[in-house]
Parts: sequence; structure tokens; C-alpha cells
Amino acid sequence: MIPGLYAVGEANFADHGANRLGANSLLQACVDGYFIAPYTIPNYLAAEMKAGPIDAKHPAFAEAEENAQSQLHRLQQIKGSIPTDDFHKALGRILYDKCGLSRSQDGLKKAIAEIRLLRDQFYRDLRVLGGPDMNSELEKAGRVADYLEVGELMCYDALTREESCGAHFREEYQTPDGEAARNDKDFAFTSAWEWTGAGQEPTWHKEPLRFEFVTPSLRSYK
Amino acid sequence: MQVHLKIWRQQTQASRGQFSDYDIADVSPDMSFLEMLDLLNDRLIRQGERPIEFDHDCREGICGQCGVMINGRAHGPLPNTTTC
Repeated sequence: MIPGLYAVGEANFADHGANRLGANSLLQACVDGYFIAPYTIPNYLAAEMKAGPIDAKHPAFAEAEENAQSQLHRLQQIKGSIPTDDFHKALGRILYDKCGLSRSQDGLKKAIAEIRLLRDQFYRDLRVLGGPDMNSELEKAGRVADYLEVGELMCYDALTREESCGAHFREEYQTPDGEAARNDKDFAFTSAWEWTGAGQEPTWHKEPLRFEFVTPSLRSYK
Repeated sequence: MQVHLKIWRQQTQASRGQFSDYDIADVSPDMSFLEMLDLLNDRLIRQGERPIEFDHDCREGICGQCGVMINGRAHGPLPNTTTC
């Protein structure tokens, strides 16, 4: 057992068969996301906690609460004309078309520009209506606000990965017979993108992948 | 098609609730029950009215979040079928 190493979501054990895609894979994502991850990670972190208990009066608590409250207030105060679902669908369409299984430099650059325009419109003309205690429209608006940021970062990641890797096909990088052309020499790393604010270039963090025992090889179904 | 719904609504958790009547026009027979509620909410929001609340998540019959009572039956009239 390696302390702190967990496999959750799609990576945990399951039978992979005809109903894998969207069926038992989704069940794992839901169950692990709802129930398993919230217990495993804190359980590990609890043993790692070297500092003493932190008082809830610590300024970090007040700052986090203030940030959350001001974001919720901001979304409700826009009082525009367009429902959250419209923005969700528009963003989904951009990502489906331009950051899907097949993507190109041209399409990804357009997608980033379109997402930025959509975000501007979101914060200018969003309409959130809901009750004082239960308000799933407000919750949804918060998630779409996050999705606007994550979606843009996904496009940055896809744009900088100048190879066809896994199920992600960059149209510029293919073999003469139309197969995915991977570039292990230049792209043996994982990326983590740090959001730095709307309209700003995100910060790119890289972690190199070192293969000691099993080295990458060509996967061919031909 | 046209669907008439009576939906239980409460202003807040503590306030008294009541059934509200909604007539929804142009419902497609291919819509799921939740998609029909989405259509209703879209129209309510565009009219400036508070949308109805309902739980949902995966929308493909897996996760079990959409716990809606329809005509007194959990998840609706079809056996072994989720509301979504």
C-alpha cells in the first residue's frame, strides 16, 4: 500500500464491457465523486496534518467566505435577460466543435476568443432567478462560471500540446495514413494550468513524465 | 402536445406549500419528464418567474438523483425506469 495513492472515478476497478461508456463508468464517477473522494482525501490529509488545529476565526476562513458570498451576490445582481442554460449550451457547443476528439490550432484559437466573448456576455446579461434558501439556478450559474474558466484552460492545454495523444487528435499531427502522431520526445509531461483572471494568459505548470519500467510504445489497432 | 402539471411549490423550506398549475404547450413526445421540466423552467425564467426546483444529475438513468414523485409514484408510472 502506498499512503496517499488512491484510484477513484473511472480509474477504479470495474468490468469494462459493452455498457462501459456512459454506463458503469458514469456510476463510478458519480459514486466516487459524491461519496468516496470526500472521505479518502481528508482521511489521508488528517494523518499528514502537522500543524495544530486552525481556528475558524483565522483570516483565511473569512476571506474564503467573503469570496464565495461576493461571487454569489455578483451572479444574482447581473439581472440580465439570458438564462444560465443558454450559456451552458453555447459553451458546450464551442468545446464540442473545437476542443473535441479532433481539434486544430486554428479552431482552438477561435474557441478561446469565443469563450472570452461568451464570458463577457455571461457577466453582463445573465438572468438568475430563484428562492432565498433553495436556488438550483444560482448553483448552476456558479458551475457555468467555473466551466467558462475550465473550458478556456482546456483549450490552452489542447493548443500547446502539438501532438496527437490518446483519444485527442490534433489534425496537424497525423501520420501519412491518417493515424494519430504522438511526440514523446517533446511532450512527455503533464500540464496543470493556473487561472490568473479573465482575459489574462493562464500560467502553465509542467510535470515531466519519467518512465522507468514500462516505456511508451505505439498503440496500433491495425 | 400540451401537458397540464400540478407542481408542489414552497417559497422557503419553512413556508406553507401548495400545488401550482402549469400548462406547457409544444411538449415533444420524445422529451423525458425532466426535459419537459427544463422546458417549463426555461419559459418561466424568460417570463421573469421563479423556476421550479427538482433534483437531477446524470440524465441517463444511472445515478438515481432525480427523485420525483409523479402521480403519487416515485420516479413515475413506468416500472424500472428513471424519471430522466
